[in-house]
Amino acid sequence: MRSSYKVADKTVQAQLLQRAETQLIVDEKTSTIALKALGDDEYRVTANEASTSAYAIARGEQFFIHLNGRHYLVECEDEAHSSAQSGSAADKTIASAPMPGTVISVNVETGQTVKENDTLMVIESMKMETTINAWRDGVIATINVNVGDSFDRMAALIELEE
Amino acid sequence: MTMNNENKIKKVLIANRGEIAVRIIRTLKEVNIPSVLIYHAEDAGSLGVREADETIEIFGDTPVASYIDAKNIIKACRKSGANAVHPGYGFLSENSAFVHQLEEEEILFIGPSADIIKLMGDKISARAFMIKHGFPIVPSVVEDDDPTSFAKRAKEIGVPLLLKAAAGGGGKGMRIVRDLSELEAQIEQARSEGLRYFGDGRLFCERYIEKPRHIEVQILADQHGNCIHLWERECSIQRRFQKVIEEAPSPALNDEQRNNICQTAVEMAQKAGYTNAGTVEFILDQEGAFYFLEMNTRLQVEHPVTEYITGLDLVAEQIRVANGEALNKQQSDIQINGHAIECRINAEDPDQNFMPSLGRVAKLRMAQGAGIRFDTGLREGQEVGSAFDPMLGKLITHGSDRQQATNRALRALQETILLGLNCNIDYLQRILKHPAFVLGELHTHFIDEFSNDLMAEEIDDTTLAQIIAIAASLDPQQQSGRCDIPEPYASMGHWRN
Amino acid sequence: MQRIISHLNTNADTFKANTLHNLKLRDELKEKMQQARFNRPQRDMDRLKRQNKLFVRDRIELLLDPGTPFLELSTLAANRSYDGKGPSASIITGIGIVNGREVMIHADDSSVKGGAWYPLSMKKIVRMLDIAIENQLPVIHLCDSAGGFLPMQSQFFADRYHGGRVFRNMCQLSKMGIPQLSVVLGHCTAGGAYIPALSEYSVIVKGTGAVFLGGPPLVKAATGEIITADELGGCDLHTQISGTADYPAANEQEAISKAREIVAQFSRKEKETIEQQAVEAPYYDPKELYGIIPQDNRVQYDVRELIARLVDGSRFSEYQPAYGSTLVCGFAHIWGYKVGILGNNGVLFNDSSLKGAHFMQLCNQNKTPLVFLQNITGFMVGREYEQNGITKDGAKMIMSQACSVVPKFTVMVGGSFGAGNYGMCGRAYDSRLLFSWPNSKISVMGGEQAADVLVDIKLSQLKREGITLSEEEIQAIRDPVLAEYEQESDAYHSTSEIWDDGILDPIDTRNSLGIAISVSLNKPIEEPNYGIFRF
Repeated sequence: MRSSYKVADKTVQAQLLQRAETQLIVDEKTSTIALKALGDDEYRVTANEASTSAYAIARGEQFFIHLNGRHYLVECEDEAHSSAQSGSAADKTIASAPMPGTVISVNVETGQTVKENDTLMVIESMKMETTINAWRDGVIATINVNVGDSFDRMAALIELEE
Repeated sequence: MTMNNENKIKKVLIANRGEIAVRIIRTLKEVNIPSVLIYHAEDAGSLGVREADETIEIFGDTPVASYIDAKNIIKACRKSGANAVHPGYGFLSENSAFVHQLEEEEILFIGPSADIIKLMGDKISARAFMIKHGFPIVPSVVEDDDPTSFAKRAKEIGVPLLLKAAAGGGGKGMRIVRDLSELEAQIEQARSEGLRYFGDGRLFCERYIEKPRHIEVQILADQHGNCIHLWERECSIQRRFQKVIEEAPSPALNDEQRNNICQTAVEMAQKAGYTNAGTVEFILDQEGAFYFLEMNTRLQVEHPVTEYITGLDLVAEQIRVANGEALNKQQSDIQINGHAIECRINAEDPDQNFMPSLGRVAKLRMAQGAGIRFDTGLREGQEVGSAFDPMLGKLITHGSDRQQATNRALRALQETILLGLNCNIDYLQRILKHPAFVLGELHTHFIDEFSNDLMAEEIDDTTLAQIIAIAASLDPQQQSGRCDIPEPYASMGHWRN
Repeated sequence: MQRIISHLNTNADTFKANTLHNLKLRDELKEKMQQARFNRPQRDMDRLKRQNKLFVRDRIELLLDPGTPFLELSTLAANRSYDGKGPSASIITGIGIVNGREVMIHADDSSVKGGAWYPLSMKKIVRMLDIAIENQLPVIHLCDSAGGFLPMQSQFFADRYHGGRVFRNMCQLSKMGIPQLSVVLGHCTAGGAYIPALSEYSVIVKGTGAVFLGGPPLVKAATGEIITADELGGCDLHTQISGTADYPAANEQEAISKAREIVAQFSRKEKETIEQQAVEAPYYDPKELYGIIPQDNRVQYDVRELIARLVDGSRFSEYQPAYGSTLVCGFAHIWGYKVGILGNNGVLFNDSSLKGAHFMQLCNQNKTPLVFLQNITGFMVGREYEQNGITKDGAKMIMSQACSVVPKFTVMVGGSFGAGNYGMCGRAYDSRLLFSWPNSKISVMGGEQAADVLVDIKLSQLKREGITLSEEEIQAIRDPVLAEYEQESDAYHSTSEIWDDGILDPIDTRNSLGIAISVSLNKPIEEPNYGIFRF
């Protein structure tokens, strides 16, 4: 079955079909990529007659690749996940943490009415502060964290009423 | 370095982590002094922990807190018998109270005295000191002295000038005035803004330097009154006040300017009675005039570029000075050899607003070849968490001239492989390739000004196909859900009768 | 295994003449197939667009795994019937790969008379299911048919192998544990409704898919009820209320995607193991086949030259090379699979018949599939041969062949006449797949022979009445017979009637056999067992 892969701002559908020596990728058209695992995370990859060495490792649904002097991050899009996330801002009710961190300040209260772009809370991670702003007008439904709390990536921080 | 038993320093404890800890350990090994490294559990997998002669685990409420807890360090010194501490940079390196505590324990501090640290650590006292001794400093006027004459004194500074709310910060409450005729009006507005946002309408203002360049001078002084400079560095490539790329010497200065600014730095250090290594930071304006910014009373992150062009080992020099030895070099011995560039490699995603990146460094391959130095505390397989700052390491290159050093840096960055988290290696290449960088036309707003140019290049179709192919082949979902096309169908490919 | 030494002279005039001739035949075949596959009245294609339907071939390409082969069967079925208005008998069948699994695909072509089923359409579907049963292949039905073509119902309804056989076969397949999946992309009316109903899994497209025993016109005629197709038997009704269909789909792409997902659930059964080795391409260029095949099937050539361009590495281990020389028997590999090949090199005599019978027994003993390269005018006739028991020996060959338990495959490479067809595994003898070459001919006897026989009979008859005929009058009797034989014995007639599973460009034979052998191994091979051999 096909998977969706995202790199930079491009999304490509692909399907692994054969042994690593030859793969076929579908993206409106079929193309043949020859791929040879050389061991130690090194690969020899050939597409359109052009052959290069690359290094790559996988981490869950992320693939870190170094090819021709450049680094790339390819992410596999979980269909259920991406359709949930790509729901229009109007439908979204939960603000999830973009990365692990701690809560610096909470600027609103449950039940408070907010306007789009109002600051809801400020979080900190690796010495960087990020503000979570309201993505639409709404009313605060729940605040799931307190000042000083730590949280993981994708943790539900704050929710607006539907 | 005298290798006799009169060395005061018997064993050095490194009160730091990451790349600087490794770097200090290396020098200690070369001068045959045993090293002790304190480490928090977060750093248990780091290179330093493996390289140090002894290691002692420390604890704290947070990882950072454990490194700035003086008690931890002193306890570790007692336990290991270390009679000297190298503080690295950051953490407690500019904490005069800490130095006092060490003095009480009769532990040597490899750095300047507590008094110097106090003097220069306080921005206000440092500036006051410089003004008092007639050193160039960005002209400024504070309102405290005499509010009514503020506007008049501001005029004397000349345009362009920067009006700042005294209680302000974070870039708020600052206005640039380019035309003296609007000065009064701007002052009024700034005052009311200050009142509104900060509850304080007081102002101060200073000359606004357009396209300032950050030039700093490395100085080295012993405890016998000798003080020399080791030439300058330029650190204008910054983002949000964090240095990104540094180089030595500065392409902005001619010989006369260079001598001038370096000599001034030496005079400043001597006036202050400075000992050990330190850096005087200046702002250079477009006319070539320079102004004191601050003095850092410690070893700096970017010291390797100075080491490359002078051939000195700064940590070794620090240890000698702390040992009480006199400098064994004169100013005339310090020549500039070629050019060096340092790139700071950070765990961040420049394409996503430099969001910090976490993860396990599954693959690390450092570039090699002549004139390349890679300072890092990373080991392949190490987990990079959110506990500390995102700098993973420094790539420093040396060349016979700036162009060679740059080309070398580009080549080394391309060769460097770091897989497992996002990093700025590609971004650094884009800066180095930028025409303005190549011409040496740098200033501290470089990255903002050229932010569009520095965006990632499009990925061409062939490369896209190649990397997607690799990703799909590694994707466990594809591997497990993979429908192996059986033979003979796989070999027949797309055949129709 | 030794490589066949080719004695072919590719510079000879005959070779070049043959090549030209056979390339022309090949081009003619390709052209006819192209027409049958793609030539449709524009208004029918427009109608498909209006109905939001994909062209049937696009559906198949979406269904199949990219970069995999598709062996289409009987492309030119019905090419000599229905005034040419039923290309491919409005059905596409073929063997392909979906999510790594071998499947049989049956797709209705609603761009041909709304996908109505002609008599030959029924025959093609029944044949498709027979192949699925014999080879234990899962079947995917892409349903989009208006149902049986009523004006011709007497030819497709009542008899044993008519329409009812489709559903009987579906039940048998299911009984064997072989799954079927229906994708309802159009109407499934009356009998057609049983296709999704008898399938293990079904997907139905909202808006265009509908399943009902009686369509709106019939319902109105029967009970006066006025109702739309969607209300009567559409997606929502069958997926939410009646449970006749399993998966709703918003559009055809989603339906096919869903179908692929369902196929991914099919467990892959273990195949029968036969001798296999690494694949090797033929040593000699298969394109030389065009130069080997004579322009007239009566011209003799060495079938070993043909074999050399079909088998792996052109390697062939000939059995009894010195005996029975008019039947070449031996072992070879095709796409790595070990096979036993029988190829005619002339008329069948006593010795060649016995050799064939013995060789087939060997292949049954060591589980070697059989490949028949048919080019046979028949068994030798004459007193001497009858005395030596040519009929008995032919019978033994037929017995050995007919009772074979290993998979059999037949390719008509030249003529196929009379009992020769039987001995060499013609249609009646259940080869798993049977293909024709464009130059092949098939009839009870050669046209010339038949014409001669008929003329003789007529002349004798007339002689008794005291009448003799002139040359022209003889010709006048002869020519129509010849013409009729010509017309009814060529490959296009055979394939039109579905006496074969398709006409192949000779160079496609190797791949077709490779797929055929692979598919045949889904069914276990029994222990050999034969009837009586009259010795």
